[in-house]
Amino acid sequence: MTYFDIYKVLFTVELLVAEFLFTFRLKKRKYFSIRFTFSCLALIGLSFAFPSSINAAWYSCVVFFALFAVSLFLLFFCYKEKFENIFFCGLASYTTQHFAYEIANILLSAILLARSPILGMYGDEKITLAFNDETFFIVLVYLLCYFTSYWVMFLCFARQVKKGQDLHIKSRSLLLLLGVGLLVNIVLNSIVVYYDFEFVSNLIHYAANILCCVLLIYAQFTLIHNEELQNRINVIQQLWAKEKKQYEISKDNIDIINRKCHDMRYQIREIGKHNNISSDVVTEIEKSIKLYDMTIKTGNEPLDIILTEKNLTCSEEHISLTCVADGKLLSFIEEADLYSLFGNAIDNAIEAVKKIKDFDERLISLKIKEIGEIISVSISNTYSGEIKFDEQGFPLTSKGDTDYHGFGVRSIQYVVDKYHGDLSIMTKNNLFYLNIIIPKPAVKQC
Amino acid sequence: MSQNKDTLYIAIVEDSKQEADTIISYLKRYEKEKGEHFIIAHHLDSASFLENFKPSIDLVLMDIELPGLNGMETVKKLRELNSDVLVIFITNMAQYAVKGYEVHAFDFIVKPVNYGTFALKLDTALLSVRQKQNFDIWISNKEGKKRLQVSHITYIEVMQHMLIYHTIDGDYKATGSLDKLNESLKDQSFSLCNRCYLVNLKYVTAVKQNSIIVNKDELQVSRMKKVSFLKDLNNFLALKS
Repeated sequence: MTYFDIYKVLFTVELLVAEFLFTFRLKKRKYFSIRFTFSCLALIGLSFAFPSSINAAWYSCVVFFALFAVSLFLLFFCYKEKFENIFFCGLASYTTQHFAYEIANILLSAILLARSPILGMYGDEKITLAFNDETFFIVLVYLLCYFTSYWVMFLCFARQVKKGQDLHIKSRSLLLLLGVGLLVNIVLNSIVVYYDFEFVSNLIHYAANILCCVLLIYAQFTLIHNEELQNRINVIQQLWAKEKKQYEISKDNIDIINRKCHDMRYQIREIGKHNNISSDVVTEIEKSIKLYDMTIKTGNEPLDIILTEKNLTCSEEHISLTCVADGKLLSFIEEADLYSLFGNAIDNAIEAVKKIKDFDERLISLKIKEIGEIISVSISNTYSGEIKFDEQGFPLTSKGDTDYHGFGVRSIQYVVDKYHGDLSIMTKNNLFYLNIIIPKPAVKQC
Repeated sequence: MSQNKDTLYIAIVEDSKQEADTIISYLKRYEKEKGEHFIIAHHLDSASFLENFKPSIDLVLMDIELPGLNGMETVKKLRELNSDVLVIFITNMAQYAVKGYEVHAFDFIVKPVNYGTFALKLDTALLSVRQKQNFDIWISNKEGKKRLQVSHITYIEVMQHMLIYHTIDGDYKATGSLDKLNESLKDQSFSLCNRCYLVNLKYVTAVKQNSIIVNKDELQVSRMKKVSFLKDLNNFLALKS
């Protein structure tokens, strides 16, 4: 028996432990414990099966990568997850294992002021079974290093894999690059183990540095991209807060108008009674007050408030706003989100319609309907001139303040995304449409 | 330009003779301008309208304030008779949003009606009427040729170089290519949800993370087609009556 005979099995066990730490919160397949036990035994069996007669850097790399690759497939066999998620966890596990290994190396080298004795594990020397204080010490440090490294990695990283949540890997190219990084790392390490020339170690040093630079610059640039996104989100959130305040103000206003109209009707009836005005005349006056009381009733209070407020603006601008809408369908959407959605959409429509000179053609129409498990919202308006779209399908505004207006549509998009919906803009039959579909939320089971 | 459009049947329910005349004059003007041909019937009250209602009617223009049964109640009656005819209410108030929805109204026109508004609303309504009209295609297989109603097809699937037409009356196998079919059904509310399924958007009842439900069958949506499919579906549903 040689050292490598033992090490390849030891490696397999270490890898399996790490893989378990990173994956145990993923979605498991049926009969998981049987599958997992089988996978462990299979992989350990496989590690035994590799011959250890070839003593070369390339060969040890082949063994490790083969074991790692097979372990990925075994994980796929155990967990009901996308392969990229499995790959992600597998990569993290191997990195953890290798990290622990290097920690043990560096610690032992530093303590013994010599080449790390673990490096001998790769060799084809026959095991000499001599347990003395030194070997005992080495084994102890080795175990301690592994235990601590795994524990730290678990606390810092593995815990971020949450139960029942998709990992949402943002950049596949980075994941792939990281895979390559690990590969290079392992190959370099093997070379260090097998060759001990200064020249080679210089080369390795350069190669490792180059890899490090690539990773650094890549990470740096994802940072910029993230920052840009973060900025955009900040702006949208500020707007959102502003809209929320506006909504509260208009809610109060509409309440006051409604109350006043109600009071006025009551007073007119009273005046009519006391002054012998005919009931026909009173009804007529009441009716005319009712016209000012332009409450739109969709069955959803926040939506009614928004629409009523916008309808007041519309009547001032000679715009006809019609609604065929069941607001109750949207009762699961938060008030502020509704305001963001409909406030922005109708404001944009009003802006566009106002440019039409002929009052007769100033039309806005809102429809909210359900089709099976889908809710469809459509806001259409007439327009004059031509509308140009940007590459994302958003309309380019003719107004100067592109940013603010653009954010109107973006806050709509933000809300639509929040409810897993789709936003689409089109022109058809001389009408501009802002269409939204939102899946109905699943009914929670008690 | 568009001379050979099919004749459409339009019913007007309006108790004021004067207002009805205005609408009829608008319809005549629209016919001339857009090359349409209408057959118009005018009813003074809902009783006369319901008595004479035929399924061949394409569009109803309905006043809400009517003697006897009002417009809303009339359409409710109509829906109980299983009619899905397009209804546009003509009213002087904007309040009826949810009531209109409950009886599946297509739209409202606010009084006093002017021609500009009327024509625009009619444009959209006619688009929707024509979307509902039937279309047939011929498919061929070993047994010969067969005619299928496009509106009955739920989705078409590619399997081993054959097309399977899933319809509400059963499945049919035929030769052909999905790409060519997609091209010829472009104006008929079909969209690809992945390389193997061409879906009739009319039958989509649910959208999930990576799949859709089409007439009770769950179909996978590919990453590649997801954006374009959702856009097609979204725009289709917006115009659907």
